[in-house]
Amino acid sequence: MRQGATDGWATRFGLIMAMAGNAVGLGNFLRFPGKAAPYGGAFMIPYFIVLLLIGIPLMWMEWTIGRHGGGYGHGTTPGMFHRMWGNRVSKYLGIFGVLLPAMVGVYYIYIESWSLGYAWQTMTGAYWGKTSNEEMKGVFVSFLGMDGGPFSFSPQAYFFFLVTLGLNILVFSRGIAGGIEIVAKYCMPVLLVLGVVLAVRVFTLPPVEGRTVSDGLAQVWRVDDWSVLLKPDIWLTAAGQIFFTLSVGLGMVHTYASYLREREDVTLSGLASAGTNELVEVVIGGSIAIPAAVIFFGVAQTQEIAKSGTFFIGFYALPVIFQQMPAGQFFGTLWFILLFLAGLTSSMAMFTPLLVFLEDELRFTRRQGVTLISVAVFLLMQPVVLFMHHGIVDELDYWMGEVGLVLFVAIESVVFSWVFGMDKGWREMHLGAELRLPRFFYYIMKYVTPTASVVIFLWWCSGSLWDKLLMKGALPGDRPYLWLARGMILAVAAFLVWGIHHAWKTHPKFFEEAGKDGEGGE
Amino acid sequence: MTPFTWCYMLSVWAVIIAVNAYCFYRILTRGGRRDD
Repeated sequence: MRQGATDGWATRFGLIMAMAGNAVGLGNFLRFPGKAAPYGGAFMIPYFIVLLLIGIPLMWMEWTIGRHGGGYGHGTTPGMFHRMWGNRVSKYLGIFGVLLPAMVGVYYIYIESWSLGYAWQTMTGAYWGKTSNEEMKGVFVSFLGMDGGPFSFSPQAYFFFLVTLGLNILVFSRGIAGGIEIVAKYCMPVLLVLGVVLAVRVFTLPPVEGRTVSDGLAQVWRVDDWSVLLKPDIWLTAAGQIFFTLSVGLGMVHTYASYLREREDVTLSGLASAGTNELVEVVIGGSIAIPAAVIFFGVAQTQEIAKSGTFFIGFYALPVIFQQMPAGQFFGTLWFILLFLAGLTSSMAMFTPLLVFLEDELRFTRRQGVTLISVAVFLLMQPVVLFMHHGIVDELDYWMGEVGLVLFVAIESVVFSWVFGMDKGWREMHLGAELRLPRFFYYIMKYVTPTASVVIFLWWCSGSLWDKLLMKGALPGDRPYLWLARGMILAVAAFLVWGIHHAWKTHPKFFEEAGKDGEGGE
Repeated sequence: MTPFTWCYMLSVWAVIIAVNAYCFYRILTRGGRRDD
């Protein structure tokens, strides 16, 4: 367990459920169908290749980095990177592992609150009678208060936002064993049961205009056009989905793993958490949204809906479908509760690295840390809620949930495999391991994972990065709000830079040379 | 769905379920507590 930590995992099952819950989120049920549907079954080919060559190896690396850093009293990546690479810049590269989850959490919680709001709306039948996608779009716009005026504000959406934020703060403020582990242990099994119930419901749907569940599954699994695999964008989309769904490259796995003991297994546990995520995403998630949408709307319209927006299948199409199926109100409510639980098990982890950073590196008490984060997150979320119609969520998601995540994946895989050294990393990974990894993965982690991560990042940059940076295509009226989003990111990043500088100057443990006990780069 | 696609999908499902069953069997048969 992390040196000096008073908190920690009470049970191994709780640890695995929390790690799996961290990975299982809105990405499994909303993002996955939204990204996969436009490509058809071809999407699953790069998806599985990236999972095997980059996703799962990264999961093992992050568990190992977290446990290794925790052994030196570091619960977040600045300190962990410092211990792996005794260079003065290493700790600053670790900023991403605190910044990314916190800034993703700022908009993720708002999206999560929509699920809670829609669960209520479905249960009460508030939108019943709106039986087309266009009408449901109107319901969505009205729910978020984006139907005119300078602010995107509606009392109902704001109420559910406050409830969701409060619940997240309550859970993460109670710590690992008393909050996160308890919620994960109960929510994950419930989430699995809800998912199976909904998948069975989709499998037993009667044909609509001759379209059956078989046609729906074909949209996920049948490869009609192999040539699409030659296009770079399907590989980038698949890589982005794997990173997002496994929650790698965000810093949360590192923090959770920092509570492990020195010789506590990471290989079997890492595989179990990744396996649970894939069970939920591929087996359960892949059997709900896309098949249901294809049965009711057909392939062409489903692809069109998915291309229109990541969340459109979940919030526009499925509510229309629920209204047309027997007991639709019941199953619709289950769907949105499922989304909410999936979101909660991820979001409750997002501010944990920042809280641990404040406690470990800046010597805050738990109470001080929770208070500061609660106030800061509440304030940062106000522009997200009130100016959403100006594209603030999309801007934050692009820089934090896409570019930042891919960049951090590239950084951490290079630091682990090439700077810390794969030989040392392999030995560290197998300390107390209950699963001896095939040697094949040594070479994958040494050569393929870091190289592919860097290539993916560079590929990503060569695409939309400059256009996005220069705000090409953005409406003039939206630009101040996009700058506001960037200002929020820079403000939090500046605080973290100051925090690291301050901690390394004032805290004795950081004066120890990283290389004196054999650590540091090879 | 062609017979080949069904086999492909069910094979992937079988692998994922088998990986989960193996991992959780190993984890749970060693006891749930971390200090065991």
